[in-house]
Amino acid sequence: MSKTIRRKKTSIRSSSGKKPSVNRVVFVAIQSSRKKREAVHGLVVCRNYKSLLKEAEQTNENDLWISPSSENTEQIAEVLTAIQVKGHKNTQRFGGLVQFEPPKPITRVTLSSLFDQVIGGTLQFKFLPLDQLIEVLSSPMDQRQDLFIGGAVNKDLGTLSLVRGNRQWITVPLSIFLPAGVIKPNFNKFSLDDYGHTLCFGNYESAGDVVLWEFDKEYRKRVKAKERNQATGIGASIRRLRIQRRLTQSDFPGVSRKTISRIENGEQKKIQTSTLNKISKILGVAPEELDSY
Amino acid sequence: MPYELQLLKALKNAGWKVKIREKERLEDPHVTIFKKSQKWRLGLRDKQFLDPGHNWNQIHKLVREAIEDENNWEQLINEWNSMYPHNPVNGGDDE
Repeated sequence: MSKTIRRKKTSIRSSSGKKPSVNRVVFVAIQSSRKKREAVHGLVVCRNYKSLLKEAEQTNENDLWISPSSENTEQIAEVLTAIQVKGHKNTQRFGGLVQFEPPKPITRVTLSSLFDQVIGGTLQFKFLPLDQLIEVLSSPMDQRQDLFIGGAVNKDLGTLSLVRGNRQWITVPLSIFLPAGVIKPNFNKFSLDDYGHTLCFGNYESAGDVVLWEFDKEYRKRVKAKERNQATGIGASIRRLRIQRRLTQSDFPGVSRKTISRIENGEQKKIQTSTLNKISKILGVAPEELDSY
Repeated sequence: MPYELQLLKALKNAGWKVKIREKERLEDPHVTIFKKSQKWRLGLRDKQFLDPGHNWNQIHKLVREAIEDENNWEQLINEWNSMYPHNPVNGGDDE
């Protein structure tokens, strides 16, 4: 069996205080009957024990391991434990583990000692289909942070816990998934689709970004900032120029801060020529060129 | 069931989908276009993209044709209205 090992360091910055940036995604598929996986940027594939050993010796706390079967998980645990114990790296941690199947109960403890984060590994936990999961985890951080890779419904607590592509968790109440006409969510049939954009509850589907919008303040801020940065119109142009010049809304003599704010937010459709002239003078551009920025 | 516009098999195999799901971010009525991990939201009131930086140049020509087909467009509007009767396409807003 030919080896398919591509290793490319994918350096992705993460925001401070969050999960460490993922260096590599290591997919362990020993004895897998799956067809040979096409090389994906940033993905390392271990198709035999030898390659697993090799990757394990080079792994660090920034890697993310994917194990599609409980057998693969046992092999990963065995190899990394050997590195910890025999290599006298007893306190070393090996990043994150995504496991599709539950491991042996005794192995759970070992995995907790090996990895900073263990995702999945219970029957209730559902992941994206494997091909979609790998594509999401191999994509740049700014894309995958807003995609969901897995989750689990807890009907006793009435919650849905989801993991994002940046391995952060978010838990939301099931009550937000209201029936749509006669279609009701079936919380016994939770799954994910559309590369992490869609949450499925039987025949009922929800946009993933609904969850992010309603429950993640940082997500809302990012979306709003992006909208403002890319907005067109003279108000948006004035705002971009003002920020670029490091001015505040109060830095326009003869034009009140409130007026500047209303213009920038598009609330003031008609702007007097004299006002426009004052603004453009402070910004250092010709009035007729303001909306070109 | 979400409403999914039927596309050519080759487009589906390439990862294209066009859907209205049971729970969407409401604001303007829209249809969501997917190509694998990318998505675009197209307004059903004005055929404009809801998110900045998105445009038809990013969408496969045949996907666009399917969406803009008169019968398909009408069906998309009808499906949105049946799923979101409190925020219909022709309902306008409170401004």
